[in-house]
Amino acid sequence: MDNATILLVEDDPNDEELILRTLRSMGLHERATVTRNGREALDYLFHAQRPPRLILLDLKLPKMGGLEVLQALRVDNRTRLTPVVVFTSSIEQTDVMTSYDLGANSYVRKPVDYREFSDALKQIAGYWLNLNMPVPDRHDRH
Amino acid sequence: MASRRVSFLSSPLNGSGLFSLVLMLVVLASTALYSFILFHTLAELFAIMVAVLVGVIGWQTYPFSRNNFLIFLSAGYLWIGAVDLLHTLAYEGLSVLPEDGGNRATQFWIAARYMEAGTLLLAPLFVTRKLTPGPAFAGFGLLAALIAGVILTDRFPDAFIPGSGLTDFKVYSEYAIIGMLFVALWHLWEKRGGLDHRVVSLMSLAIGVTILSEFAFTLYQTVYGLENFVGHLGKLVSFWLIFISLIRTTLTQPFRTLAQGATTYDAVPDPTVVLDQDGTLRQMNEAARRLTGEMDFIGRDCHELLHPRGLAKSECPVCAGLAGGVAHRLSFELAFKDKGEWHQITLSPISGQGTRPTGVVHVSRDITQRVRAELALRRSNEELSSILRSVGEGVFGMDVEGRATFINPALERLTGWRSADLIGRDIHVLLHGSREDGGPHECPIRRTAQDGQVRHVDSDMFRNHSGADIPVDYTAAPLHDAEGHVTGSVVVFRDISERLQAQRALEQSEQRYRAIMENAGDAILVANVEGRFVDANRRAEELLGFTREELLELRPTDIHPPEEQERLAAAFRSMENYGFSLSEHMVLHKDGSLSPVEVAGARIPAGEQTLFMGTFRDTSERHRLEAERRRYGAELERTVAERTRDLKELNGELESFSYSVSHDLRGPLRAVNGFAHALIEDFGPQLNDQARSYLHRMQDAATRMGQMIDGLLVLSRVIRRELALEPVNLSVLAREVADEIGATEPARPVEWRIAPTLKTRGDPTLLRLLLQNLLQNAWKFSAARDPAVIEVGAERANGECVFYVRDNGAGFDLLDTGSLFRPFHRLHGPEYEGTGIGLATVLRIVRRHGGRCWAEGVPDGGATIFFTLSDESNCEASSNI
Repeated sequence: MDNATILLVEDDPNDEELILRTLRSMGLHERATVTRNGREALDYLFHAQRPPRLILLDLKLPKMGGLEVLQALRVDNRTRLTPVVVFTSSIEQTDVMTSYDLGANSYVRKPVDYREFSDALKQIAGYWLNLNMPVPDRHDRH
Repeated sequence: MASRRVSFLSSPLNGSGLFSLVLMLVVLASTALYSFILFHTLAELFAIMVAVLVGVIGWQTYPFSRNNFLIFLSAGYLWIGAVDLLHTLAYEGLSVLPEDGGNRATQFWIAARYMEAGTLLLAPLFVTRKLTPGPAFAGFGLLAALIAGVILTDRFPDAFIPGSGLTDFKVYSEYAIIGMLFVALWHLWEKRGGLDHRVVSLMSLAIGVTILSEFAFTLYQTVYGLENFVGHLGKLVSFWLIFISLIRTTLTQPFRTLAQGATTYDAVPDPTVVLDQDGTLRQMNEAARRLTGEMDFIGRDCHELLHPRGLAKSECPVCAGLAGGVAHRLSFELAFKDKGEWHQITLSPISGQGTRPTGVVHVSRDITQRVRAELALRRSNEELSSILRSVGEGVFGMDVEGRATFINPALERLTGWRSADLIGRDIHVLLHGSREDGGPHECPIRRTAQDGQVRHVDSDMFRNHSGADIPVDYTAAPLHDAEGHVTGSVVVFRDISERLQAQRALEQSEQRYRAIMENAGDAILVANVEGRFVDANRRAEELLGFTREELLELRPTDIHPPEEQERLAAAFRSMENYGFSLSEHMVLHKDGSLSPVEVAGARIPAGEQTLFMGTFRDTSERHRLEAERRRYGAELERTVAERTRDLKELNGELESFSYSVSHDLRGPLRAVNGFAHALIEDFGPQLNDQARSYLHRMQDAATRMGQMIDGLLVLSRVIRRELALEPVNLSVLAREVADEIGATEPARPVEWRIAPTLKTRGDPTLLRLLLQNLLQNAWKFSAARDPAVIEVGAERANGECVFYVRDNGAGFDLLDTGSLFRPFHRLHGPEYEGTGIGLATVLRIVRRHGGRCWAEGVPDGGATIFFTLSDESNCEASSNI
């Protein structure tokens, strides 16, 4: 695993800190890159030598919304297959549906309770970053 | 032959009869030149012969003649002849009786002359008196014998004395005889009315000749003298005349009658035959001979010649009549099919002596013409009566007095009267009259029966048997007899109820049509195919300014401006082709102004012809209103657009607000919760218990607030969501929700009682949310119960299906029910989790479905939340089990 395998697109510094805190607890915080708006995120993605293994995308972003970013990602060959998990406060049906329509791999609402928040994030990161490896739960079930 | 004999007998004094008499007299007279006694003897014998003939003929013909006058004469002359024979035999020189010189011969003579005169004198008495022949002949015979006895015994006065000649007795006797003869002549004339006038003439002549010859006898001196000669000739003539008159009465007349009968018999044009009782032919007249073509008919059977050829004798009614004995006239009518004739055959008995018929007169009369005429008449009558029977019109006849003479079945049917009830009775009273407006004398039928004028009455009333009026029209025509006199009238009538009904219906229809036309709100114009208006209503007058009369002079083209003509023609074409048209036109008013109209045209069949009806609606007002409406519409649209825009903005704002709430409010809470957590995690050991407790509280508060925000989000979604209504099985839905809830704490003792057939129509998503909220509540507030009972059911109240969710949990105070459904309102303390927004959401969902929602409960006694949904809810709990 190389560095910068997780791209965090998150404008809220509080959320950023809480996400990084969870990633840190997982030992993944070194490999996370944070962009603060959509434009910045696309700049990073289109200039990165390798696309990240996982993109955690907030929807409500300054300069360019998360859905626009998602749309842009999915039409570009370099990022077309990159896993994107929408991680946002919204539970609006339209947001959920649009995200999936635009090619989001997962849509996870940010829980208010930190324990739940942290658990959700751990499951997401654990799943997508270990995609090449059998997911222990799933594997066991098989 | 009969006719020649008739002419000989009918004229004995002229022609050959007279010639024979004169010739005989001449022969007799010539014998006197030779010998007077021979002459005398011959003359006397001849007279005696005539007298005997008279007697014999008179006797023999009496049964036919019944002539008492003649039988008296006959009897007298027969015995006069006998006495004359004695006279002849006693004549001098004949030497038959002893010679006495001529006295006895003269005595016989004078006696015979007395007898003769007496006979002629008394005979007229028997013109009117009855006399039996036997006693008459016997009487005269007795007289003759008496005379002979008296003379032969010489008791008779001397009449001739030889030498001295005739005695006085003889001479005066002759005068007495002459006197008697004159009296006899007078007597005859007295009774001539009862005798044939020719007989009277002959008798008178005979008496006259006798008188003359008696005069001659009074004069003679010698019995051989001239006087004697003339007297004997006269006597012979008078006897001859008596004979002729007898012959005339007893033979000539009957023979003439017979001859006339024979001529008449042949003159009868009908074939007439005389038959024996057994039908054998005896005589035939000329017509019968012509009919049969047979001359040789005597002894043949009448059936063979005179009856129909094809008819067997055993079946022949005439022969049957003959066999039965013809006692009186019988008449038969027979058809002769081979000849195509009809004969009437009459059988009449010929009476002989007594009542037994001796023969039958059989007369055939050709009645073919009559029978044909009768048949034709009968046929014609039958035809007439069958016509009378079959016609639908009632027919009756009446005489001049108004009495019904015939009635046909149609009359019976139409009026209910029976023929027998009417015939001979005053039909006017029964059928027609006694109405107050016209007595019998005003009745046209009566008048026709009197004046012979044909009358037709279009509308009148007859009365039927039960007294009800029948409307009729009738024709009364006179009946005439052969002389052309009016003998009555015949009436043919019809029940015109239906016609009157049809007429009334037509009038009503016309009235309705007129009423519809006149009360129509629109102008109506009717045109015919020739393009002329034929009708117009009042509104048409008002619309166009023309009167109806003026409009009927106009054409459809006249009421439209020139530029409309093409479209007008198109409208007519449409009516022609499709039966209707709908178009808008401008119409030209009488004053030249124009106005817009909407015209509904229709082609209407009206009997033979086609009419076009146009309904004109003045659209001026409508056009004005439409313009106004368009203006208002535009304004309204503008307003709506504004409002919609506002509403959209509001919605947008609300959405962005919700978005903000969901997104932005949760962020800080997450931070509070998250950093409190981090603080405890990272710096827990450095903090005392109280500090850690505070941090936990912060975390909880933040979490709860997040839940409240989520509740609000749900609520706002409920409000904003568009309803997708479909049939929903609430029982299934409740079961699913209950299972989900139960799965969170499988160990809890909860008894779910969910009615199995709860159905309604609604938005399944919202209804699931509704049940989630309600069951979650029930689950939550019944946590302390063992077992908790949560019931989902329905009941019908006031015709409405009311669902409910009931639990046996904490309940609530009724005083709080008003605020129960307010958002964030919580009745219970922190022992029950909750955001206070569940029931508010429930209320919102129920209201969005058009229903109501309320609650019942007592503290610690459980709570029931009731709600209604759509009208299509089904709450029959047992219907599907």
